[in-house]
Amino acid sequence: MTATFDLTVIGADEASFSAAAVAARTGASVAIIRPRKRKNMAATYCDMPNFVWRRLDLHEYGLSLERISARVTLGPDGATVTTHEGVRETQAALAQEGKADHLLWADFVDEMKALEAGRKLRDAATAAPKNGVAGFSLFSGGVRDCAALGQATGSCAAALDDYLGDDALKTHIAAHALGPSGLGGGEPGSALALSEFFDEHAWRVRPDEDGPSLLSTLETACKDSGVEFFTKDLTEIAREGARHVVVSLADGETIKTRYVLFASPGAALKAGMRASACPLAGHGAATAVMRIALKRPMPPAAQDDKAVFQVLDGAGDLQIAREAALDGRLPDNLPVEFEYAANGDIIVRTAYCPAAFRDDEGWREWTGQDRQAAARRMIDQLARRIPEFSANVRKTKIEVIGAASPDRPPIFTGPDFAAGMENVIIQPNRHNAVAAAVRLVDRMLAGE
Amino acid sequence: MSDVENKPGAGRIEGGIDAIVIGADAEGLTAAAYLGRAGYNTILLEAGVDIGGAVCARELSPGQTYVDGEHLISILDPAVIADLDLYRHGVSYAARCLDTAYFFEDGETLQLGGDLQMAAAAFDDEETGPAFQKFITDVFEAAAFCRPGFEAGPASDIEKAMRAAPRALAARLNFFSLAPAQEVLDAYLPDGALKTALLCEAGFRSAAAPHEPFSFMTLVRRWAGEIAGLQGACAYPQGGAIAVVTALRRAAQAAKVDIRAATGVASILIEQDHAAGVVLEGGGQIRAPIVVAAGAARRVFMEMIGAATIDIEFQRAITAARPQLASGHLHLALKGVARDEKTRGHMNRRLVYAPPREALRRAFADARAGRVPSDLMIEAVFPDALDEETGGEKMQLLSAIAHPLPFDEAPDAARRDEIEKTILANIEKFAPDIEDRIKARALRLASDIATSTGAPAQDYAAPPSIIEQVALARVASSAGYVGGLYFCGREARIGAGLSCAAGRMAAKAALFEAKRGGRAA
Repeated sequence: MTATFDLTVIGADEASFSAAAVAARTGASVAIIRPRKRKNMAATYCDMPNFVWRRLDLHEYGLSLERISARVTLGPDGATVTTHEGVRETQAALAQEGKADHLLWADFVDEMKALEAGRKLRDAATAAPKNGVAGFSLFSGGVRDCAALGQATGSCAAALDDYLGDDALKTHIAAHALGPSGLGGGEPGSALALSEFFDEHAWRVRPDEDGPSLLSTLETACKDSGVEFFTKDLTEIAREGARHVVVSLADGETIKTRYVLFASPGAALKAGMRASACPLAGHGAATAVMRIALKRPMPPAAQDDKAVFQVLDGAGDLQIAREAALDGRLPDNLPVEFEYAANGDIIVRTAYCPAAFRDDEGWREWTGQDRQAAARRMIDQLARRIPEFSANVRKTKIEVIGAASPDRPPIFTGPDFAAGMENVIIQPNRHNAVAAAVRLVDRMLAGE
Repeated sequence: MSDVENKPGAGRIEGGIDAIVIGADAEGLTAAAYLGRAGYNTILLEAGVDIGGAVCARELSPGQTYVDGEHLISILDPAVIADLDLYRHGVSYAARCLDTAYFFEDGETLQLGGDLQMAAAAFDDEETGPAFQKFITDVFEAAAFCRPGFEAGPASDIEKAMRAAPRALAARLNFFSLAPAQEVLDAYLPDGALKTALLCEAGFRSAAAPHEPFSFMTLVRRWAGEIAGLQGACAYPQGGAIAVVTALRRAAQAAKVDIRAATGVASILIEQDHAAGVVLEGGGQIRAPIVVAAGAARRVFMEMIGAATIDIEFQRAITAARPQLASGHLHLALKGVARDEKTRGHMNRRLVYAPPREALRRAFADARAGRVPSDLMIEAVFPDALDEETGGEKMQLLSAIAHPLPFDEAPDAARRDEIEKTILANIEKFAPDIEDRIKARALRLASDIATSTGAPAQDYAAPPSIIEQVALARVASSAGYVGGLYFCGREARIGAGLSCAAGRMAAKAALFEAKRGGRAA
């Protein structure tokens, strides 16, 4: 049996559901394919821009969201750096921490937002339909645009050095901006993450502790908007004719569709697709997410259980970790991000894991032992900052996304242009995944 | 010829000049020759005594010279050759279409003909052959399409052309311009020697490592080059790359350009946001409505004009670069002729040592961290074997470029020694026992070339990704919105190697503006 849709979204995260619901509300026929086996490992926070909230009328679902309180980096020797959504609040926090750069903060944030060229570059990388040429509007615009483009294609470290003086602050920004994509600060294109990080839609929100989860609300919103769900594994994506793609499912069912959207590279990799060509896709690395249940409650780090934390000694460690991951090793000084779930569990995440391991005999897949080693190292990293943490761990659950399955590292590339698959779109890791996915489907459907 | 006036207290002021070009490297010579041919009374000023910039002949041992700066040409602008009649002025090819022999860590070798399309068609492997053909066809098409973009002149309208590109080509261009070289090659070719070789080509002389974003464009840029009508080829000019500079000089002289060596420029005169001439280091002035600068952007805009006059965004763009990587040149005078067949068989080719993928990635990481990598890509030629006119019977020259090396402003003796040893160890991988035959050697790092030309060392560092270069070239060629000032220095050039496109575009922009201004007046 073949069903026909305008748009097929593959994935089960907030960005996938938001994009599907918005598309369905604009009148498109939409299907969502989500994997059969799902673990509830996702972070509790997400970006949820106001325009998406309003378009989906999320207030009607009894959902209430709160902004995450702060972004905190736990440095060595008890030093912390804290930044907030508001510029003034951040300036005050930085002044309190004795950072001279608080005077420059407002200008710095403005400059990073002004890296418009970065947005063009990301849009180009997310090769959307009728957007194949967007890569080459890169050089349109005046000298200022080209200067910004030059900066955005450069490294994050160079951009930070250009504006800021305080090493701990630079480490903090690099850790939070690059964390989701697992990039090193010295890599070309890593500066892109900065403009994205300071984008107005990128500040994270999390559902109110007592209310329904954002994901389940979005799922309901999808169903209410007429999105059809297929809880099946994907077996093949093939091109049919000049305009359509056929998605085959595990039980032999097929879906004929105009566009396929993977809202995250993780979803694409799970389905065996190569990820986006965008620098933010963090080629060659895997992401480990772990949920830690504690034996007894402990006070949150920095007395704040609504913040997102990074554990990092110095900005240079990001590049070292990145190189270790590309080398097929688990980095010694693994940069990790963590937050507190509503029930007091800690969710730890790192995008600096290797996609495959390399030893004397060549490349090999992740094993159970590797997963354990990764879990151990993540706990160790937290223990370096939180006193008596290791002894307080009761149970852990770890998931690795983006691990390569064959005996060599996966090929992460853009849509298979050679086969004319330009209507299969894969989003890179983004700070504002929901906003980007919704804008993307808007463009796709308008391009019809 | 020119009017010389003496004004009390103002030093010597020279007038009646239409255009001044600052810097007599290949781009400066090109710009001057174009302006001269258009009938403009042009003066070319060079601070040093040598004409030609980084490309010049140096003595290695008594009676034996090598060409510093470049040893092959691959991206020399064909329009410059045609417009300036460089063939008539002495450019000829000793080897027009060099074959390349690739050497690998495991001792394997791979030979590719200089005509890559033919080489792909003749590739002797059922799986790789057709894939290679498809790769060459796609990349050549994309490269030819991008060519105007690599000239980066203000008049280039690559945008329009790109918008008109067929959909499949546009998607491919998008992918090529953003993706790491490793990904593009993985998408096209099965694993093997050919892929390793091409991966090296993509990383060669660039600061963008082949596993990092935007790196594939390095190869696209190289293959946008055309030598004697053959796309993607490499050539060895009769007499070496210096022959191109000599021909450019002759072309400039034939166009009645007044070339003045040892005449440094202290500052560029700006009057009402318009270039009005230059002040010489000796104190005199030369006045002209067109000034073309071929030096480093920092020197031209920050020192010759001054930060106070220049837009702050523009300043940021041209001063932001902090290079980390560079290539090193090693020239060896060898005693006698190679004895082993392996070396002798390949001496009339371009020789490339291509380290394996993982080693290459580590090499970039090491060099960036300031360490000398143990594995280096090497591109070597035996100029004497290529060029029968200069070839000696008893002595042979080997010129090699090694990449990637850490960029040092001023390397000490120990560092130089380490670099030299590492380059030699990598050369030994394809030319065994060469060390025993070395009679004289010259290691030329970025800092050495800078000392010779008087430019800052970072001018000779490895250029960043092509996208970054194109963006920067767009900024630099705006010359900070100073009317009558045109820039064709390092920041306006795209790709590594002798190109002359920036000089041509700067001169064209100057001529276009002058004509428009003339009509308006």
